[in-house]
Amino acid sequence: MYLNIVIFYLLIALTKAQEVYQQTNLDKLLTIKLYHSINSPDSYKLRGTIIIPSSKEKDLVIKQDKPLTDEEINDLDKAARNNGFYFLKAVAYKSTSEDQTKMATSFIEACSLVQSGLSDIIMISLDYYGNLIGISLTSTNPTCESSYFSTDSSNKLDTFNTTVKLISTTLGPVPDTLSYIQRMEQEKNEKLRGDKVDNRSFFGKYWMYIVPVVIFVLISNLASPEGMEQAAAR
Amino acid sequence: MSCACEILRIIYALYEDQIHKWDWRQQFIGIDVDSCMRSNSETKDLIFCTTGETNVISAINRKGEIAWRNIQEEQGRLIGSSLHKTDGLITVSLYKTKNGSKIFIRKWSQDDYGFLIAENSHFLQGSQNCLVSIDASKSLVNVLCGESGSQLKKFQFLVNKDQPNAKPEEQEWTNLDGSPTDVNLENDCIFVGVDNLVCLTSFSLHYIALRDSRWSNQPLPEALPGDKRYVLERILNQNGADVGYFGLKIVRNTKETERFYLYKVASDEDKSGGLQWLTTFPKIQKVSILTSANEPSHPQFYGVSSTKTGIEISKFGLDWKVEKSVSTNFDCKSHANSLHRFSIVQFGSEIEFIVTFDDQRLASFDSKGNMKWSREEGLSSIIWSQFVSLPYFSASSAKHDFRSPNDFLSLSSFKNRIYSQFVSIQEYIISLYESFLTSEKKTLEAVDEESREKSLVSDVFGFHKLLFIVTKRGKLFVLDNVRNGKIIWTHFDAKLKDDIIEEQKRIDSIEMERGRKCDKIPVISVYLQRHNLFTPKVTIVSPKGYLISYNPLEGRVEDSLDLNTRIKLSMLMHHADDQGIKGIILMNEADKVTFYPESTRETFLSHKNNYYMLVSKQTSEQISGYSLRHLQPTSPGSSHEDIAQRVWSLSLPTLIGSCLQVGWKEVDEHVHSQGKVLADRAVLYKYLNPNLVALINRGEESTDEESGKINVVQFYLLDAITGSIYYSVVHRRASDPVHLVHSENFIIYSFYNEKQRRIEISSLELFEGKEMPPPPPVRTPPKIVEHLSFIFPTGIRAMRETQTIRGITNKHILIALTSGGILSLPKIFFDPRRASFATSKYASSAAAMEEGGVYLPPYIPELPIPSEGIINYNQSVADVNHIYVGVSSLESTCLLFITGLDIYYTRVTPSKTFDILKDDFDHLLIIIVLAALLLFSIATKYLASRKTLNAAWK
Repeated sequence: MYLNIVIFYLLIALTKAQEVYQQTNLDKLLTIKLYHSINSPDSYKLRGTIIIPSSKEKDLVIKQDKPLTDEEINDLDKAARNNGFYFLKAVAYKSTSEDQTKMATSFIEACSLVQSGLSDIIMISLDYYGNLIGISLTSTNPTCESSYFSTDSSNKLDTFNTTVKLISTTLGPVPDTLSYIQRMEQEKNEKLRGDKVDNRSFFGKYWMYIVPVVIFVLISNLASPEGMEQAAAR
Repeated sequence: MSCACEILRIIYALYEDQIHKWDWRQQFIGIDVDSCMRSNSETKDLIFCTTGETNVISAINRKGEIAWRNIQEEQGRLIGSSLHKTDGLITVSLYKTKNGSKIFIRKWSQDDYGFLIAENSHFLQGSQNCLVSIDASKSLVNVLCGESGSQLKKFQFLVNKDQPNAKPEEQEWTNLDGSPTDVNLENDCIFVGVDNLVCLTSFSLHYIALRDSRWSNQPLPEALPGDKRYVLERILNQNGADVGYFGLKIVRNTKETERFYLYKVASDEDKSGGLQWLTTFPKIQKVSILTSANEPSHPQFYGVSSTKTGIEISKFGLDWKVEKSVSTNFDCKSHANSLHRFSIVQFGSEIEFIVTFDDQRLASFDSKGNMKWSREEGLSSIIWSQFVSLPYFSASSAKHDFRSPNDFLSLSSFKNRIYSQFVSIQEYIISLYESFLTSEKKTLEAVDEESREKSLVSDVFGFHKLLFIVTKRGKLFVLDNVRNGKIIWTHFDAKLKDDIIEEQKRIDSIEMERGRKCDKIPVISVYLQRHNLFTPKVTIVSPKGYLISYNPLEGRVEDSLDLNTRIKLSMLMHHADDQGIKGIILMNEADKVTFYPESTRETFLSHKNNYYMLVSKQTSEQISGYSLRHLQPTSPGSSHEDIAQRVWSLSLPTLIGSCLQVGWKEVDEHVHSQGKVLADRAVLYKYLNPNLVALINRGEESTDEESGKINVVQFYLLDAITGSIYYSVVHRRASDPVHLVHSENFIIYSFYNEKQRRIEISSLELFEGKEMPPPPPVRTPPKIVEHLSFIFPTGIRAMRETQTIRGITNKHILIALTSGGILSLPKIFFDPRRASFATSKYASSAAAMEEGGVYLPPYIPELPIPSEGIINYNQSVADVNHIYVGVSSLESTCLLFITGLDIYYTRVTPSKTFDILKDDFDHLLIIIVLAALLLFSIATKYLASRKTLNAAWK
């Protein structure tokens, strides 16, 4: 009877734990919808979606199926020639709820985007809990060359070749007292060990100083009797 | 032998005669003087002054010098002070936070030392507004606190050294009859006598005697038009005691007083009760009373009013007629003539008037109206300072040619330059000749007022500079940095003062609401618009769109302009126009952009593609970037085109009560070396993105977890052009105070670790790697970010790095300690690259750390405070707020100006004076040796040639 109840509660606890686990996993999942706009930041259209299941880069999923329309390509080309901007807006959704959590916008010089052949790099910064802070857009060709437009680029660019980079917030470093203390201990031990090893006899340690002195004394002793004799002879 | 050792040993001590050789300190009593009273002991000629905002109690001698000074809690505010006949000085301070307030009551001795005799403190729930009245003769302090007029609480303290922290007698009133609505106890009410409260509303004067517990009201003397209003005024006697009088004055918007109504609160014996109107003084701003012990019922009334050329002090007789009046004149453009406080002190039969002006100048006048001394207390509240270079010869001799440098890039400017060099040589020869004739060197101190302009000349090493200063009370100062901070020019601007005070109040109210104080919020922005040596121009931008252009060399206001719009962002352009003026870009709350001066718009348009702006607010997580690329050269003011375009935006994680700090690099910083040479001869290139900003946001994390709310400090590296975050780190359980240094390729910041209860310093260095970085327009994130934390053993009040003219000299980090010392610590102590060493196999070998000939000390988690690193030796600087850095013409030397309650100037040489000869360098010896060598070589040449000739003959 009691056993049954215990097992029942255990089961409930297990399912609860699983739920919690799933929820936390889901909580981490971040969906970012990308909208873009050419030349002015007020006519945003959906460009694609990025799904970030964890804050590791390799798990990223990018969906950008819709190619650019002819009109958009024309606009982009025009903006590139007129020193215009290409704007990108990111709206983040936590997968558990539909309401958006955070929004960030970024921009790039349109010519830079066109000249790179629509190969852009999106950097997404996340906070410590995996929420969106901001995005930034660069391309593989960061400088604009005015000579580029003289040759007519007939090859149509309509799909983005996007690289996504994640910059997540980490915990700040703390003063490393532990390894310092360890190092101190180690040095102390080494010193102690060094003291123990050197237990040779006094002569063993300082023979190199003693031997020359002894030789010198010997030589002077050898030399002096002659001198004495000479002195005595005079 | 031992003698030689003594001589050879390097001594890091300072000789007595070196004190103040190249540094000076000025001490202050603080701003917002509450009252000044004369010591009651007959032998001591001291004047006690207490300051409200700075919360300092001090004694001043009769020469205007500080005899002693006691600094109380910095966040607190002094709300009352009074002098007891024999016992001591009683002061009351209030420390307000969102959740609780604390009252500190202290009694100080009246002698030369100012000992603390007795202390009492009391904690109150919630943020309270309190008024205080002190009955010094009975050592009783009445503190009345409350949120509104109907809910009042009175605490009566007995200040006695035998009973420290005795519980106060509490008395509470709720739902008082006829209480005025919508009054703020602190702003609209005054405490008169021992238990009378008088409040002012827009229609009537409300009065309550607390023993009656019933409000009564009285109509105001006259109805006022919109631009005038009533203000209540306390009237105290010479001991800071309230004897039952108060004033009601009419002020116009221009702060001019029109009328001063004098009232008396009926005393207990007088059964008629209520408020009694006595008389009306015209134009009087402040009234003070002199009571004598012999006839306490007949006090003498003194009033002070401001005139066009100064102030006028009047004594009133029994019939309220002016009995005697003295007026004193001073320059009303340089100093304020509106009054802040007025007190009377008595030295025997002599009367002295201590007047505090609105610019916080404290001055003492004798009964004839002569100024005995004056103190510029505004200098204790510096909110901006800048070193301004001086020309190499006096501006007066170049009056005609250099005032209008219209053409910067032409032949005439070359001609000007040649001419200027010629004039300077000429002047030098003349000065040499003069000094030869007079045969005595004119010391800098001996230069009198007349030749002020002539003395404003730079020295050879460029140490002599001007310090341009803006204070919290809207006064501009120009100090001489070598002549002990002598004041050269001052200028008072009432509009600037009002703007600053209003903005400060706005910030304070926001902070009070959020329950967190963000220190160091800049209220105004100041820009050096023209860097010309002869006509420098600094422009101050107030948040309400008021601009003043000032020439610090001549002490002249060039221009002032009121845009009447709230400025969201102001920014100095990098490009100067053909007049040498760098324009200021101003953006208001509606993102509309204007230029100051308007003519610089043209310069901007030719560079408009290069300008981006970053907008952030201290109290918001939103950061955005703007571009002005679409700006057209249309006529200004007519189009909507001037709206800046927002190109990027991001929002940092939401924190409760967040304080955002943005750390830019110094605009004109010179970086000498692009990289560091490593031990293996490879070069590690520095990451030198000029648009990199360090952001620090701090506050309470609002997580929905059960763990509770914790304080965090978030750190970000952001590119201000693209808005991309390159690096982000969070320190959990960390909080204020945060200090930030950002220069070259390193960032150092400090914060408080709540878990370990200690101050920590985090240091970052950014590198490009071992390959040459791409040319400037390419913006890439730093490839290597080294980050390491340290423990700092004491509190930090300000942090700054040294700057030198070419950036060759090693950097030192200057840290103002809470103890009043200024620590200069070599940057190498903060080097974060040891983090990667610690894990590598070279960890223990010192050889691996040696690079470019510089030995990197091993990582020690606690930073040392070497006593020889304290650059201000025993000259402690109280309550430091900021360290300002200037460069001299000598590469080795960096000029420092440290501000706080005290101001301190010194210069530091981080790599020692490698480019200057020592004072005791023997010029004569070297000349003799050189000459001898030269002669010797000539002689040997002659001898050698003779020898060869002789040899040829043989």
